[in-house]
Amino acid sequence: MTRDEKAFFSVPIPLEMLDGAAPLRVDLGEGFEAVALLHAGRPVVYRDLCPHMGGPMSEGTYEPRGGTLSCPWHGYEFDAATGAFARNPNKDIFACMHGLYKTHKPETTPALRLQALEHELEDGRVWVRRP
Amino acid sequence: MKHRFTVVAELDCPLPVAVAAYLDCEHYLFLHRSLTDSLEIVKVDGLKVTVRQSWKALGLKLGHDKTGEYLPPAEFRIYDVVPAPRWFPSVHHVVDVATRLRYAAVPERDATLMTFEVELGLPIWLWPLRGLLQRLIERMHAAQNAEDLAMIKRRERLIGRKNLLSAYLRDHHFCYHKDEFVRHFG
Repeated sequence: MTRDEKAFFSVPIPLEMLDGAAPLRVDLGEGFEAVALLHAGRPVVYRDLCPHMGGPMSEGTYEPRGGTLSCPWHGYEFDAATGAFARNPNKDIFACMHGLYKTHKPETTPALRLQALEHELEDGRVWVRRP
Repeated sequence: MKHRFTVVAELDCPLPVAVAAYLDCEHYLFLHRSLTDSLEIVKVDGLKVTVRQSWKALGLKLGHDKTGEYLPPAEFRIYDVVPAPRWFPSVHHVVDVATRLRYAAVPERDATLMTFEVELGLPIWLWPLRGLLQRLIERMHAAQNAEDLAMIKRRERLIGRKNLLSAYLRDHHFCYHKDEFVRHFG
């Protein structure tokens, strides 16, 4: 094994646990939680934390056709491949109310992105690099 | 005939956070997805918002319209609950529902006292079922509270109790009646 063991979390993710249909919450050891899924046949791993309000992405919905992972709290959708924010599904619902409040400034919305965790595949196990 | 009941409980979160979670309308369809499939804004009139809450069944979108009113700083009322579409055979044709939810600070524990009052206007033939209707409403309300509190508790573990409010006050965050909320709690 050439992998630097200190650079990686101690608990790997067995590839067979990723079924390509739903996100999986994994404890990588030391209390660090990640969400893993099989997207387009490849494992992707993010910190289990929505950058919007901190929701558990592992309890969200993976949409393979659209390639998105959504947060279970507010439904914010992220590109499953890159972690980049893709869509706020509430925007259309409440569009008629946007502009009503001086304290709401949507133009200041930060560029939200899931925290991607680098990983290596070895013998059917996904080893996640410490951030 | 009127059947009234009250649910009182202490929520383990600061008052501004309990109010913010209630006004945080963007989570209704997701965190509380077991309670509704879709939401549409029908009318906005100051601190009153009428919404259509629907469920998909047999290829149809069925539900009800209801008006929610915010009485700052920490009171919420719901009334005028009518079936949508009107022809839909619904309990709301015969049962009139009005609720009043009040939050009050419990300073010694930095918690919130919730008082949830419900008034059901029932026809005489439904009077024997008032207990069942009460339990259904209590159960729905408890489920919603539990989901909100689970969200608040997770955020508390991540960022600390004192920082819970900050996300709701950010410029880009949208919630019902934000100006009023910020005026009282910002």
